[in-house]
Amino acid sequence: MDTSQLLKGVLDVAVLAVIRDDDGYGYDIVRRLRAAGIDEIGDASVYGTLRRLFAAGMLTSYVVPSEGGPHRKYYGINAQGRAMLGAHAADWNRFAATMSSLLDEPVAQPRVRKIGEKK
Amino acid sequence: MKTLSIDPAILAFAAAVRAALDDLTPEEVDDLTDGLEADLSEQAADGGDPPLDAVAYAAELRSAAGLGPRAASRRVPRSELALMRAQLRGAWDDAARVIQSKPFLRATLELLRAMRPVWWAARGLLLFGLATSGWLMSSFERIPWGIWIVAAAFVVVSVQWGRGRWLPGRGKRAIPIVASIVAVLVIVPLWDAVTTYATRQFEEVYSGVGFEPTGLQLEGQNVDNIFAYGADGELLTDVQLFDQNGRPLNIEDPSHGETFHEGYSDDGEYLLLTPRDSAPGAAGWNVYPLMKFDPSFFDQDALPTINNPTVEAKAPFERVQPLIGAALPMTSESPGDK
Repeated sequence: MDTSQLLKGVLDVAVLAVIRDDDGYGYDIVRRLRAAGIDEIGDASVYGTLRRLFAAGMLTSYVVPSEGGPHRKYYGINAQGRAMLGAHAADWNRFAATMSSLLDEPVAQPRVRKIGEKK
Repeated sequence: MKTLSIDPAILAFAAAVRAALDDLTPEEVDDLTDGLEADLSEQAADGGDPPLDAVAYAAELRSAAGLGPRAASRRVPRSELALMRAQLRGAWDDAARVIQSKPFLRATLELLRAMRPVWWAARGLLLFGLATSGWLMSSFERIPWGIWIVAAAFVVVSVQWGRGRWLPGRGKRAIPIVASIVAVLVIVPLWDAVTTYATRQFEEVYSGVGFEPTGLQLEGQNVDNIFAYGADGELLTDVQLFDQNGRPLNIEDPSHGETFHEGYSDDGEYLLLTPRDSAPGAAGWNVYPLMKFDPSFFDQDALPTINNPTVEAKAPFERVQPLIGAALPMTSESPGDK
């Protein structure tokens, strides 16, 4: 199953989760997500999400010049971001529990004939 | 220089991403792409596949940022114009890399960049000139002082535009560029208008238009002295003349404190005239005829003073036609005596 569609809905929470303890810059956050097993999301999606979370007031941001390289833009979570992360984590756990219990008891599927399929 | 260590391919890619976002405001583009070169460089160092399609990358960025797709109206003419823009941008990026790699060019560019506020102010003045040039071309009047307040307002607005302030959301990028192009285009016509105006002002001053003539005039010619004759045709002296409002008909303005008046007679004689001794002080410029300084005392190098001797000015006529009914001193020669 293509999990990228699923991820889109929870990427905000995933991003907030990986910077919960440590501030990070764009690619650093991508790397943390990949290390956590989320590797089907494009880095541009992560950067865009960071920008959106920042615009929504969930993150702080600061630029760190680097010796001999381009500067890096760091993001950190703030109180509002933490509150959102907490709320979403609760929602997710409830939803995941519901889905898990649903999927553990298979519902009887009616047999559906495909077009052109013989009886 | 920090940008030197970045792979040119990454610089080009980042530039292309920014180009694909150029319908956003500069702040939004910065928000989205700040640190992009660092992220891409690190990804490449990690052995990640370099992204290839800058437009798709930009679309993913903006979509994830919740900014919505590029406006359809801007996407449609993705034909030759868009291609040209992309090429221009590429050429610009190439030039930027060359400049960054040459210390002298880099220093020059930094100097020019530091001088941008000067151009912003000049642009304000040029646009002000454009706004008022119609008046400048046609008017013969002097420039009113209040206009400089308007000029200052133009300068302030132009500088604010240069700083990215006071711009509507949609025209944030276009307005300052268009303003700069217009300002450059009006330099030459405006220069013409200003020199034309200055020449006209100059001619006006020296043709005497707008200047009140001083002293007495008769049909545009200076009157240097007045000779009054009585009803009997004899020359009068010590005649005080006033106009219909009681103002003295002065040859010289007494408030100027002149002690003599320069004039020429029709036969070219140079005259230095001065009030009569009968006039109190120097206030006798309306008492006629004026006396003239004795020419035998003329000193080429020194101007006459009030102490120089004066003589009666030569009258144009010894006597004139007596008026009808005037008492004539000629009764002894009447025909009845013969």
